Amino acid sequence: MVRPRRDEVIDMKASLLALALALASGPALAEQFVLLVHEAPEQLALRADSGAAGEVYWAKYADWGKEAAAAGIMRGGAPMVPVPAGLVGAAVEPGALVLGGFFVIEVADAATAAEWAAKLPAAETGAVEIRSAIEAPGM
Amino acid sequence: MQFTILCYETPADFARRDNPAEAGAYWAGWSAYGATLAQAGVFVSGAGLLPPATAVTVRTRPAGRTVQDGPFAEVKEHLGGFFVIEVPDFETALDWAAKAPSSASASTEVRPVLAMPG
Repeated sequence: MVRPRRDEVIDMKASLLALALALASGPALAEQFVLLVHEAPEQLALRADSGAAGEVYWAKYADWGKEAAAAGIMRGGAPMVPVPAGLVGAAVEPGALVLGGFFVIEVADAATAAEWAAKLPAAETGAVEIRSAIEAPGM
Repeated sequence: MQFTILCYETPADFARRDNPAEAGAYWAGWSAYGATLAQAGVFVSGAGLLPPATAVTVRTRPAGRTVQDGPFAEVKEHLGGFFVIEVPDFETALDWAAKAPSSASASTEVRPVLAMPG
């Protein structure tokens, strides 16, 4: 294990103190939101594109993910096969947006969640639905 | 393989959450399901969602951003929550999905999670 430098320790202590103060200050400062990412079939098709268009598709999500991780708000998420597995190969209605994945983020309020949602690539080509998360039972 | 179990619920299901006469049984059903997934060692993550009336949908277009109250689609059943599970194959994922309370009252969808390239 690498021991942290003294100034890093002080930074950590300051951070922990700030965190403790934040936690002690009453109401929760952060809420979890689920961003439901709806995309058009043309966009979803880019996922399997091994050329430049596919690279750009994934790079935009990677950039968003890095930004969210750096901001400390990322709590989870997954890209999904855009139709139920039992229906793979079934035609998707032309022009219809499809749930292609989701992200779980923890931010101060709904307005901040909307800011992050608006920055997702899917906000430009499809729609991002923001839902408040509740602590799922049994977890 | 990882799969997402998408639990869709009817307006009646969402209403049960806040009905004092039914909320206990409603939450007990989900709690038992989540516990079963955890005990089987297949649970990866999950979240419940507040009812669709609380949803906001965001779109960014060249003309500007639109923020619309309400869910993305007008449908009879709305996503009420989801679980990500790790199981060997699709058949097993389907078996777990069938046990979700939403399978009895509305519908449950199973989607493979994509491996991210790179």
